[in-house]
Amino acid sequence: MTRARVFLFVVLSGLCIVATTGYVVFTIGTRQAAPVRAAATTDPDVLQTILDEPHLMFVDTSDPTHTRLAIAPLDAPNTNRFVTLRACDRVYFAGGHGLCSGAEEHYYGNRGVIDFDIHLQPGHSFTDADGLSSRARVSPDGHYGSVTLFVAGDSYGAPFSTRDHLFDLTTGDDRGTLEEFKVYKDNVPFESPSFNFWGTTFARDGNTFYATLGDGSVGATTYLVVGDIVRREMRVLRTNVECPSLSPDETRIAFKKRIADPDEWRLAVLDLSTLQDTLLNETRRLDDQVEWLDDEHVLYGMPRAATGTDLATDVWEASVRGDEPPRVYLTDAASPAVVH
Amino acid sequence: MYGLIRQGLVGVSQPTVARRWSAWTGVGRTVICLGITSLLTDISSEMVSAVLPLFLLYQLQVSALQLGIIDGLYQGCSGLVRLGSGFVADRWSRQKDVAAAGYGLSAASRLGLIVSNGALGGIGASVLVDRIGKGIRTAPRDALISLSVPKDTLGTAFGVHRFLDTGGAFLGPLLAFALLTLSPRSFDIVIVPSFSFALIGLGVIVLLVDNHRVPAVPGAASVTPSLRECARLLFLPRFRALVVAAGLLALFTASDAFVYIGLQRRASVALTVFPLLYVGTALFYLILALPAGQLADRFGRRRVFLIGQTLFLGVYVLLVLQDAGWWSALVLPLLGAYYACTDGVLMAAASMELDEQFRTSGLALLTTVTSLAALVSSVLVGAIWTASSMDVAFRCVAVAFVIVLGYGYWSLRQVVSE
Repeated sequence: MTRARVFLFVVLSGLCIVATTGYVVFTIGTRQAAPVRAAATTDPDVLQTILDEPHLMFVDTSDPTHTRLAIAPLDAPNTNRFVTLRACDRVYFAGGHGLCSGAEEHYYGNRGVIDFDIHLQPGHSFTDADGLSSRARVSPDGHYGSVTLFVAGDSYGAPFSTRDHLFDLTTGDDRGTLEEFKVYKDNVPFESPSFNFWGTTFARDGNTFYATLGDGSVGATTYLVVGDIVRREMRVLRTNVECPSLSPDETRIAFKKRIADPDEWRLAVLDLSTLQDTLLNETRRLDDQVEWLDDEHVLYGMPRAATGTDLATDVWEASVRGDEPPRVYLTDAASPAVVH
Repeated sequence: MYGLIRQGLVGVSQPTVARRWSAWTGVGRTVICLGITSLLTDISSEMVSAVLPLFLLYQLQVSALQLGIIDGLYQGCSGLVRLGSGFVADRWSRQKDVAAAGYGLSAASRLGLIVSNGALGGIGASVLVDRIGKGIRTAPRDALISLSVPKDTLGTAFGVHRFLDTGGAFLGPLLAFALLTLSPRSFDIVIVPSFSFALIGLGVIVLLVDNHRVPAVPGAASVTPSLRECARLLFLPRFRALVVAAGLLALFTASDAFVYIGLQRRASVALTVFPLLYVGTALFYLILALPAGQLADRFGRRRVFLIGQTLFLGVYVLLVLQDAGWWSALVLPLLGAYYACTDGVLMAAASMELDEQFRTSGLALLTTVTSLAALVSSVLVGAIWTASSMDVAFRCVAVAFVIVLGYGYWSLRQVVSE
């Protein structure tokens, strides 16, 4: 070891330390100055105006590291939006009850599940549901809510697994997870300790729901199940239907269909009377639980860049008949919920 | 003459911190510098491991299944390159250069992570390169440590190295989560410093560590390591006994991941606390690494290794007990002490049995056997777990572990006195 080498080492380390510190300080400085959208408003009168007409409740992703609960009018969503101060990763609203997953900021992202009322005022907090937000849904009558969370440490095969929680939003009771329900396949009990559930969607009768069942191993089959909340049981309908979303007329289910491994999904619609599915004319990879805008159109979140670290997302609209090409419905948004 | 001048220079330009350390532990500059390289590289890699699953999940919306594939990639593929790198290092007596190449690959993988800009293929490739780098560097680095100190301080030398090494595993996740607290979900402010730490660590080994020079012993020096000579290492009775015992024990040692999941089920550890389990174990490991190494030098390396393995029995007892309650927390100090008494101490014990020319190959052989056994162990525990339950899985491997531990005491008994 010579003096020259020690000198070189000191110079190299010095450069690394200065450059890195500069990068970190600069990054933290710029990211904390969150951009305020031109179309966003904080005027409470505007909030009431939007709430009084049919609107879209969603997650504002203008600042993707600080996502917020927001609303916009359904007929002209890009002209006006009210962004609340409520942190949110996934949101849903139906029957006078809202559900927000990821309601508090935490070092690795948001966590915590709460419900809220028609004035967006928080109500119950569901503390047993701890994990990273994936999906959120409320039954049309507002009675039940469900969130899918990613949790760590449940499985040895994968670092994350999913857990689907069920809540009674009228009382604030935690109804446990779908893992506690009985499952039947061809009328025979179907069970495994590695079962995972995700992506619940509710029917208008206030008791029926649909969800995805997977057995937690790589490349394994997934199943569409139809469940009964009161009887706490589920029945397998068919394979390869993930994140179902029941149409308003309750005759079809829009879902993400796995067309290749690993996890290459496309938007598809299942006819519940025949259990046959059709791919829509959205050809990009889809990873969302879609929302029906009406009986002929669906909304879904889509990253603006196909790959990369650009976190921007938009909500897109596709026609179920496939007679119109998909189009951007609302920019800088995710997790759409249509409220009439 | 050249050697004398070089030694003189070493004395003059030795960094102050390293000199103080050397005075305290008596292990010399090479061990301290290698320790610092490991410290910085471990901070770097643990920062990334701590946030990678979250990064994939949030940034790329990758599902749990894909994460499983990447994680398997992350864990699985370092064993293959070990043997080759060990042989090359011995053959040309270039332990330092081979180890530096391994550290270089890991630093490059961090750069790859930044450049890939979140593309899944790029992330997968950089994870693979990092694991290959780890496979390449481990045996030459441990050989260099063992070659730089007299045999009676081998345990201490490995203790000092593992103390610094584990310091990285302890600080990395804390640093990563501290940065994420300052700017939630800005994963680049974790990955960029991670690259920087890896680069400085690489600088330490490249610029401040020298290759081990094989002393010119007449006759003995002419033996150039060949593949055949390396294969014959397994016929050294004392070395073979160590390889067999360590391999069998590893076969029935539940991996950290299983232990933590077991602990979480028992004591229902919150999701947010889960990463802290790793940090807690690292803390006990780093506190105990040096004392365990010194103890090994004093009372016998094999004896301390066996004591360490016996501590793992305590981990099993706590995991199998139905109502351990707060006693479950004892798993962390036990696991930390187990690592302190077995990881570096095993390398010290093996180094005692291996000639200098075959040191790297021998250590590579030993770690290949133990890491393959660990891989088989994970599959085994996972299979029993899936087929029946967690309790049954722990009980089965615990019983097998007791039997193998008995065999270990028996097979190493005649040589415990060293």
